[in-house]
Amino acid sequence: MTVSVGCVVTLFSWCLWKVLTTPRKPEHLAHVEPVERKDLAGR
Amino acid sequence: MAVAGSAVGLGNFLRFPGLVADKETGGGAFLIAYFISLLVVGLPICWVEWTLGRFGGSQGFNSSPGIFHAILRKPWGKYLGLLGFIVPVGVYFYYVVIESWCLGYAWHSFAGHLDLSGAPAFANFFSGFTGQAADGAVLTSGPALAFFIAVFLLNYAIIYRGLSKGIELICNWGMPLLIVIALVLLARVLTLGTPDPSRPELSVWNGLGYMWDPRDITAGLTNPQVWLKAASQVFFTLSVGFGVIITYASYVKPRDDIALSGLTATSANEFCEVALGGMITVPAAYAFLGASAVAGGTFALGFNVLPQVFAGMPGGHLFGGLFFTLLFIAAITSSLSMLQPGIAFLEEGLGLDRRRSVALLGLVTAIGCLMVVWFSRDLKALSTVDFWIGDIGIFLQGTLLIYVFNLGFGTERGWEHAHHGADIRIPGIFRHILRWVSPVFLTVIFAMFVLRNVAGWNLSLADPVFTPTDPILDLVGGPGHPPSAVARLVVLMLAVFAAFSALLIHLAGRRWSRLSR
Repeated sequence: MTVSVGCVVTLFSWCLWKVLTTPRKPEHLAHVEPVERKDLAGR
Repeated sequence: MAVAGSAVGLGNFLRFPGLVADKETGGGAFLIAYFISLLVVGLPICWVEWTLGRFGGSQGFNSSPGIFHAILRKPWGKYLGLLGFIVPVGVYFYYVVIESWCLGYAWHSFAGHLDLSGAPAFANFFSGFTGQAADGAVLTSGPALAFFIAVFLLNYAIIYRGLSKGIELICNWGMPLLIVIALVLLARVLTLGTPDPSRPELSVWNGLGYMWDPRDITAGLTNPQVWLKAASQVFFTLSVGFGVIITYASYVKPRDDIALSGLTATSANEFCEVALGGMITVPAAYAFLGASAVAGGTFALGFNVLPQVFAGMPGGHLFGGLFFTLLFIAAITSSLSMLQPGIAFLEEGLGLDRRRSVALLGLVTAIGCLMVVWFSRDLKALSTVDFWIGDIGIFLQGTLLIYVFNLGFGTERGWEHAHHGADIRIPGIFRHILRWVSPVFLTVIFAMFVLRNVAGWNLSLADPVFTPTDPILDLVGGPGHPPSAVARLVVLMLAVFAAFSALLIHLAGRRWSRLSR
C-alpha cells in the first residue's frame, strides 16, 4: 500500500508542481470549436 | 483538466478497489501487473492520442475519422476512425443512466431516504430504483425517470456551451471539488476505527490490510486472469481508446506541452484511483460489514453495500450524500467528454453548426438511452451495450490507435511531434515501448480478452475448456440459457448505429474531398 499510494502521490505532486510553475500562456486553445454557423465560415 | 475529468470516473472509486481486493486475482500481483500495464500500455497510448490529436487539429480536424483521414491520406483511412465516433456515443447510452443513479442516490442520501435496515432492503431499493423487476419499470417509478431526464438535459446544456464555456468550466470546478470531497471522505473513513467494539476484527485498519494484502505474488503473476484484469482496468480507467483524448488534444496549440499534459492527466487519474478510491470504499465496507460485503461487483459495492455502510455511520446522511455527489461529479465530467467527439465529427464532417450537431447527437443518444432505460429488467440492455461497445469496442480502438501511430504516422515522426513545445522529455525507453512492446502487449491482451470473454476460454493451456459466456449465450442461446430477445435487439440496434455512422463518415469524406479541391 505504501509503495503504490506513495508512487502515485509523488508523481501527481510532481506533475502539479511542474504545471503550476510553468509560465502560463495567454491563450490555451489553438482554436475554439465553432458554436454558431458564422464561426464555420473560417474553417 | 478536461482529460483528467474524462479519465476519472466511476471505475476509480468502485471498480478498482473491488479488483485489488479480489481474493483470487487481486493483491500484490494485481498491483504489479497493473503498474506494468500502466507503463507499457496506458501511458504510451495516452501520449499517442495526444500526439495524433494535436497533429489532426493542426490539419483542421477534431474527430477520429477526420484525424485518421489527415494522417493516412487514403480513401479508407477515415473509416478507421469509426470506432472513435461510435464508442464514446455508445458508452454514453448507458453511462448517463448510471450517472443519474448517482445523482438520485445523492439526493436520497441527503434526504434521509436511505435509512433502511438489513442488506435485502438496500438491494430491493436499488432494484426498484433501477427498474430491474420488469422492462419499462423505470418509466413509471417517477423519481428515477426524473433524475435521468434532468441529467440527460444537463449534459446537453453544458455541451452546447462549447469546450471553454461548457466542458472546461465544469471540469475546472468539478475536479478540485471532487478531490476535496474525496479527501473529506478519506479522513472520515480513516478515523472510523472499530465501528462495532464487540467485533474488534472489523476495523478500518484491518479493512486496509484486507484490501492491500500482497498474498502470493509469484502465483498471481503467472495467472493470465490477473494480467487481463489489470490491463483492462488500466485501459478503461484512462479513457484510452475512447476517442476522447484524441479529440481534446486536437484543440491544443502546436507548441503546447502535450508530454506533460498527458503525464499530468494520467497521474491525476492514478491519484484518484489508487490513493483515494483504493483507500475509501473497501476499507469502509469491510469495517462495517466484513469481507463478504466487498465481493459482488461494481454496482453491488456502490449501490447496495456502501449505502448500508453510510446508514450505520454517524452523520451517514451527509457522508453518503457526499460520496454519491463525488460519484456524480466523476461521472458527469466523463459523460461530457463522450459527447464532444460526436459533436466534433458532425460539425466538421457534415458542416453542421453547434446547434444542429447537438440536436442530431441528442436525438441519436436519446434513442440509445431510452433503449437502456426501457429494457431495465436485470439491466440486460445496459450490460449488453457495455460488453460490445464498452469492452470490445474500446480494446479494438486502442489497438488500432497504436498501429496507426507506428505504421501510419511513423514512430520517429510521432516521437518528434510529441516533444514539440515540451518542457519535459519523455524517457527514451518509451520510444522502444511504443514501437515494440505496446503493440505486442496490447495485441496479446486483446486476443486474450476476446478468447476469454467471447470464446469463453478458461485461459488454461494444459486443460483448455471453452464455455460460451453470457453475452454470447444471450445471442445464440445454449443449454439452460435461452437467447435473450432484448440482447438481440440491442446488438441489432448497435449494428444499425454503426452502419449509420459509417454512412455519415462516407458523406464526410465526400465533403472533405470537395473542400480540398
